[in-house]
Amino acid sequence: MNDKITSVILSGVGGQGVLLAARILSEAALRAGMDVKSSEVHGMSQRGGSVLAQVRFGPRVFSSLTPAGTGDFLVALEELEALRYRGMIRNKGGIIVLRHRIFPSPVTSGNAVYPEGALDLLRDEGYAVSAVEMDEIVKLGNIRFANIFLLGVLAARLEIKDEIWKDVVTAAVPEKFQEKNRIAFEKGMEK
Amino acid sequence: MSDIQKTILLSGNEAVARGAWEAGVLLGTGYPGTPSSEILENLKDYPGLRAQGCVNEKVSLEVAAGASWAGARVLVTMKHVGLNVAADPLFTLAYTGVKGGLVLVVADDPGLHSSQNEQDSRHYARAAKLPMLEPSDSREALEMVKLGFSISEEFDIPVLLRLTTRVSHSRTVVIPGERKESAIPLAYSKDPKKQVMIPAYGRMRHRSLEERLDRLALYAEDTPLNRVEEGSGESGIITAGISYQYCKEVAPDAAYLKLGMVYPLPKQTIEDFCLKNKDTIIVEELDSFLESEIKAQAMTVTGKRPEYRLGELNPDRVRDILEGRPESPAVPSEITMRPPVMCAGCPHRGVFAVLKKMKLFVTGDIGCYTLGTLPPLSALDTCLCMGAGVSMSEGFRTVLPEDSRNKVVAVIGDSTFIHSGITSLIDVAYNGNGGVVIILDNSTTAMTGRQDHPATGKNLSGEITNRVNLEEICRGAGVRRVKVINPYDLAGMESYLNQSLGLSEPTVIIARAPCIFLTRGEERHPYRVIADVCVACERCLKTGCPALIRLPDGKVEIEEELCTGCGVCEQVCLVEAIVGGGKQ
Repeated sequence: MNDKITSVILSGVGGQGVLLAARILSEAALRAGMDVKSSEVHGMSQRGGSVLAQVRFGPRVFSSLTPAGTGDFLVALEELEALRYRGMIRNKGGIIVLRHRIFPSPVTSGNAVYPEGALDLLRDEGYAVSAVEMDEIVKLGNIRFANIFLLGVLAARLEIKDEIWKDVVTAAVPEKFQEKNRIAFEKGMEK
Repeated sequence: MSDIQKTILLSGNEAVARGAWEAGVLLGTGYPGTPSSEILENLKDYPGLRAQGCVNEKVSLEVAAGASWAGARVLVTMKHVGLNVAADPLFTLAYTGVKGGLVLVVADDPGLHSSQNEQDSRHYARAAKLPMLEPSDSREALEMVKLGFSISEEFDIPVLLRLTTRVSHSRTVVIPGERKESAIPLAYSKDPKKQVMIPAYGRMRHRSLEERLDRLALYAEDTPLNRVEEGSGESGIITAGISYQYCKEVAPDAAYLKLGMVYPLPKQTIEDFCLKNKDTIIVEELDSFLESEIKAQAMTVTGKRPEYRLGELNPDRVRDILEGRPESPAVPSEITMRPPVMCAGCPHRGVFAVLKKMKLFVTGDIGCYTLGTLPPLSALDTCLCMGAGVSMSEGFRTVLPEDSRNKVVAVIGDSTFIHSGITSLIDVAYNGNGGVVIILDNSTTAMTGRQDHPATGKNLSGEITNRVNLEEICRGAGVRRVKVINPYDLAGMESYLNQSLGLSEPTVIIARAPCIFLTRGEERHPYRVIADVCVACERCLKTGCPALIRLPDGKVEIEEELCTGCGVCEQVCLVEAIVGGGKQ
């Protein structure tokens, strides 16, 4: 019965808007008539820590946590955070990752090395990797739109109607950001 | 389709707030603490009630008790360790009972996402002899809060509602309802045998409590909170809370006894369920609470292996429990950790840089500044509970010989000081032999999401109210040496510490500068590094500022986007390689 459930893992670094993206996705799935459960961990998220959210939807969802290795998509706003959580999705699962590196404190202080070739590794492991270049985000005027852009990339791979997406993406942010968000989302969908 | 339109997605915390509003709550009280903080923040936005952050959890429960005895329905919220603070009124409130319904929400944190322990608050239900409800998702949370108020009034008893991090912070579908006002008139009544717990009346109320618990045990047999779900296999599962959802995920076809009321337990229902199954497995997070209760009624059931008492459960661990497997050994991740850090520009950083430089022993407390224990700062040496930094420093100083005694310094945040540091400071002045207490005053409760508190002069709704003057509180406690210092002035801090450490009278240093989140958006003057001057000594990196990037050659670069221009790195640099900050 669980094969009807779609599980999306969203990861990034505190302040990147992972939780907002998860909430928009949850709302879209709810409007599409599905049962939805999402899980997020905050508390430390604003202090540059790793942030993880999970959204699961389908006819009936029990656990808000995804069993290891069964997620369908990983949406990562940072390369290291894509590597960290890749084990949560299934073989050949889809990874949408922003080509962006935010050095964690062990790296900035010189006690660890930021891994090279993260995307190649993900591809070698058989995941369906969609990489988003930072340039594509910068063109939108602010790197803060990265979360919405990547959500657009994800939306193109899900069966939720465009009108629903349009509504929930608009409703999720204050009016002055709505137009920019809509554009970011559409650019992501076109990708 | 019409049903779908009526549903909304709420977190467990939002659902509790919604349920309390629908139940006609007039007052919500509590003290912020992850994962419970968002309950009151959401409740305050509903009409027809007042929600307030109180000084601490004990005060929250006592204010709530008064309002309840005046007839109002009251919600009280706190995290698990907060219930320890509120335990004193709680145990006797079980004796006295309530008038308006009183539901106390306690949010446990299995896995210690943001806590100092992972205590299982279900033990409080048994110890204080109180009914406890435990929802497994937001929909149940909303319904159980409402039912909790009815149970509270019907049985004349406070009701505990236990959440866990995953219930508090998961969003699931709920069906919102309308608010129904309580019919209980608001008035005080003189009823000493119920409201004045002198020994003679306390004895009577203890007897009454046992009778109320007996009636609740009967109620537990009939309530829809506890339900049996038929299954197709030979095994049955008894579970509660979030564990129920994990079980259903991995064993959807098993028979279930799903307990929504985890104390007192429905013994007959449990016996009937166990006797029907070839094997009955108990699945519960943290302690083996249900297991020991059920085994005590002489039922043969299978519990979990001891390793599963540690940490959060999840579908994978639950599958292992159901199949009787030992926990698979944790594989250390090869991925570089990304620990939380003090923000760039955090006013605590400079203080810790000084304390570290002076090689002091720092008794710490609960808040963002607890992160000062992590490398590279590594400058905070104890963390026990709210307020303990101050009182533990007194204990250290009382028994240590003089040379090491004068190396002990306490740090405590402003909100934590208000919560339970004031009593500690009074004791330092009363029983202690001097010592320095540093109040890290960033004018907010930063760790839990920047709530106001009595020393900010604003209440939960952001309205201006009385502001506690920290200097006067300290002087009133008996401390004559009270000094406000700019925490970004490292030399000033070091100099005053040197003057104060050896004194036989206590000193309070109020290191005062706002949390950077309170001044975000204001003009910044970032620093930069002159690469030719930098000698790659890494002194600045030892402050642990996330805006400092170590380059491959050991020299440092400052990330302009992050730098607030606080100047701590400039002050620790010996070669004047760091410039800017609006000075040039």
